[in-house]
Amino acid sequence: MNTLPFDVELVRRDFPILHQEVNGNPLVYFDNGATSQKPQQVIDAMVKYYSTYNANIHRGVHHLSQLATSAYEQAREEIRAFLNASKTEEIIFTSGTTDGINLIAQSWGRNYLKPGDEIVVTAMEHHANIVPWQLVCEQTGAVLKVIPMDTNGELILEEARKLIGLRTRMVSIIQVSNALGTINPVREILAMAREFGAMTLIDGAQAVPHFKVDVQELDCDFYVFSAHKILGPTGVGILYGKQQLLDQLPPWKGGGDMIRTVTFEKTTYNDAPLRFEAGTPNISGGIVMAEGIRYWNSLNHEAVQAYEKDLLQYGTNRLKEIEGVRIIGEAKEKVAVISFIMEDLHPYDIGFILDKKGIALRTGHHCAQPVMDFFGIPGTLRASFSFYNTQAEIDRMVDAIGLAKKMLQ
Amino acid sequence: MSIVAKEAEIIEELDMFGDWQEKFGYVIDHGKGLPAMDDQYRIEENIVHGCQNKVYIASEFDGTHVHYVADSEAQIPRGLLSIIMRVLGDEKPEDILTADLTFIDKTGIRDNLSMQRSNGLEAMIRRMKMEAAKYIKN
Repeated sequence: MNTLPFDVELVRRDFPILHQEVNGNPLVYFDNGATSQKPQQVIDAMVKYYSTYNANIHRGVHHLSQLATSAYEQAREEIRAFLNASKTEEIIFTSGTTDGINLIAQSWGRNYLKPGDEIVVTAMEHHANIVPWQLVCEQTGAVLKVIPMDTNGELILEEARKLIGLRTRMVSIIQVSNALGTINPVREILAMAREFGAMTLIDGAQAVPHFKVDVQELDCDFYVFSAHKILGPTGVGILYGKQQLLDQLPPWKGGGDMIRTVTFEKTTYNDAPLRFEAGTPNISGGIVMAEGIRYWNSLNHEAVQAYEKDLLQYGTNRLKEIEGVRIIGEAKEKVAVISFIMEDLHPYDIGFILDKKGIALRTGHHCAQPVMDFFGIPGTLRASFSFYNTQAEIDRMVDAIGLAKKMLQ
Repeated sequence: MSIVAKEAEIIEELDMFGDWQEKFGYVIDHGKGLPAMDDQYRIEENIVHGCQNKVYIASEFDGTHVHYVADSEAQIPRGLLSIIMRVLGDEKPEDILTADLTFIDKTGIRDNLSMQRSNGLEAMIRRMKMEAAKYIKN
């Protein structure tokens, strides 16, 4: 384990994209909640794959196919270790978090849900953990229930206790809110679900970039995340599922690689994980994803977490100094994400001016419209930090907000 | 004044400003002159899709000229709306439909918009032209 002190300037050297100008100003990248930037070793791994051993996997005995297959399966094993899953077979490659949730909604939900069964989500879900369940509700007659939150952006656990009951079949919750930064008390909520024998799924897309996740310790049935939010490429992600559950689930998509034998009369399916990986997968994506995780593993996590906490504190304090700023989501437990609005000014206008000053942050509803409706706002500005951001960058954002205020008021 | 003459006027006005900050200061100020939109126009069918923020465009026809009403909740889109309305408003439907609106490029406005925002601007113009098309008799 790395115990060296954290040096942000050293780390920044690993991310080539950070060293450029946007609109004549040095780039400040505060949109890490949307996607993280990639260290050089991840970019190199992608180039190496396509330059030296690109081939299709799980078929063909030729040399390159063997190399690619072995790198892909090695990646699966490293991702197992990253999540501390007990078996490699529990790691399914998907195209991302959204794909993983849809897979469970369709493979499990469509086959096991009955009219009147209940699926419980939270008031701060990303659309990816709402719409797949709404679709399966339409298909099966199941009903969606929502754990409410308070004005700090914290879930109301007493209400969760009232909602989760005998009719609950699935509790599918976001571990860290992308719109607010709240770290949800998933252990408590999962315990309620287990009491009633309900399935559990955790959307970990915004959690894995910020802290260590252990699926055995969480004891969730399913866990999903995307590679691109944790230093890896886009278009690839992971669905973790307990093996005894995956073994019972029917396939969702059909095609090559997911079958054992095919005849026109009858097809038998492969075991998990391949049963859920129809067609040629994102081979380079899976391999390169593991490189991102290798980079993440090389960091001193205790130091990184302390550093991100300082960024959050510093950013929150500096933003609060600005008259008219209202921070949306002030949960006690947060990752380094600050959503905010400014009195009488539209996030769109401020985002425009910040962009002109080279500052990339997200404006809008962050694919969480119900969250915006709850707070009665059209959208927010969201600064989502990574370990490669600095306090000096936060100062530049604060200065640019000052300019925006001057121009817009 | 013709559409082309109004475009020339805006090009001249914006020519006085050097950098994006000054140019968009002008756009924002221009939007402050946009008349308040009556609530009767704030309906679903007047919302322009393809914009990141809520933009309304509606029109009235006096038998010869098209008159627009429009609003946006954000100031920069409101400024852009008010400039396009100044050019296309109170004109004949046929003239609106054939307008090239080259001033958007000539003034450097488009260069300063991101792709997504530029698409939003295009959506506004398209909507205004569609409104004008409604009044052309076959």
